[in-house]
Amino acid sequence: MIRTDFRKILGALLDHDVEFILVGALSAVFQGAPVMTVDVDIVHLRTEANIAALLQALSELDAYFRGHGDRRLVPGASHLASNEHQLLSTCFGPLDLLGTIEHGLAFEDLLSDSIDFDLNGNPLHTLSIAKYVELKEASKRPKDQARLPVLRETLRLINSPKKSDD
Amino acid sequence: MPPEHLQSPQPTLSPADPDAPVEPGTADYAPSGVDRSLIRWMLELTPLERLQVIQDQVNAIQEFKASIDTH
Repeated sequence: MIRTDFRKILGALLDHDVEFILVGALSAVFQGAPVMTVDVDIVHLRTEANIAALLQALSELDAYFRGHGDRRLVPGASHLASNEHQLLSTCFGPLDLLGTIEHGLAFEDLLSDSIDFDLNGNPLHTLSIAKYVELKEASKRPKDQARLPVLRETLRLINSPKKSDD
Repeated sequence: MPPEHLQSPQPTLSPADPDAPVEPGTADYAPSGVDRSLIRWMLELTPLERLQVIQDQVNAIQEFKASIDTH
């Protein structure tokens, strides 16, 4: 059984100097939203050098396309250069590589909407919960709609002035 | 029904002002039903502690599922 370790997945990416932004539910968790998730979602910079760094990190993580039974199909540079979603398994749990997300937004579009957290001395670019809520509010997917009340309330509490009794 | 003094207090919604102080023993739910106390608790943690909370939950569920699958 794989024991999920989000920190090791993110650490491997940072150790290989991969440029990426953490998005999805885990980005909201970092900012205080009590939501469950089992995977790491990232939007990566799709330059040749960054894709090479990402491939090295994926090799270290024993990454392969999930959902293909016993066949261990390994992603290549062309997969990582596309704007599609690559859904992978790693030795530390699922990792989704997203070329673009809603409205075709790519790494360069999202960087200004990210905030940095320190992870092992490295800055972890994380999509702001405000932007995450904005993107999910435009979504019609039931999964996104179900999660929105918690995200909205977390954002509201982050932005609300702290009370003396808190 | 048990006598009144043995009945559990019924949770009540917090005041309309979402930022109003909440009395101890009063459930702190948003109008949407979201448990605000859980969010406040998460906000008191560091980002890495929040990550650890979710990771521990995922692993606990996976271990529970594995224990069921083996029986």
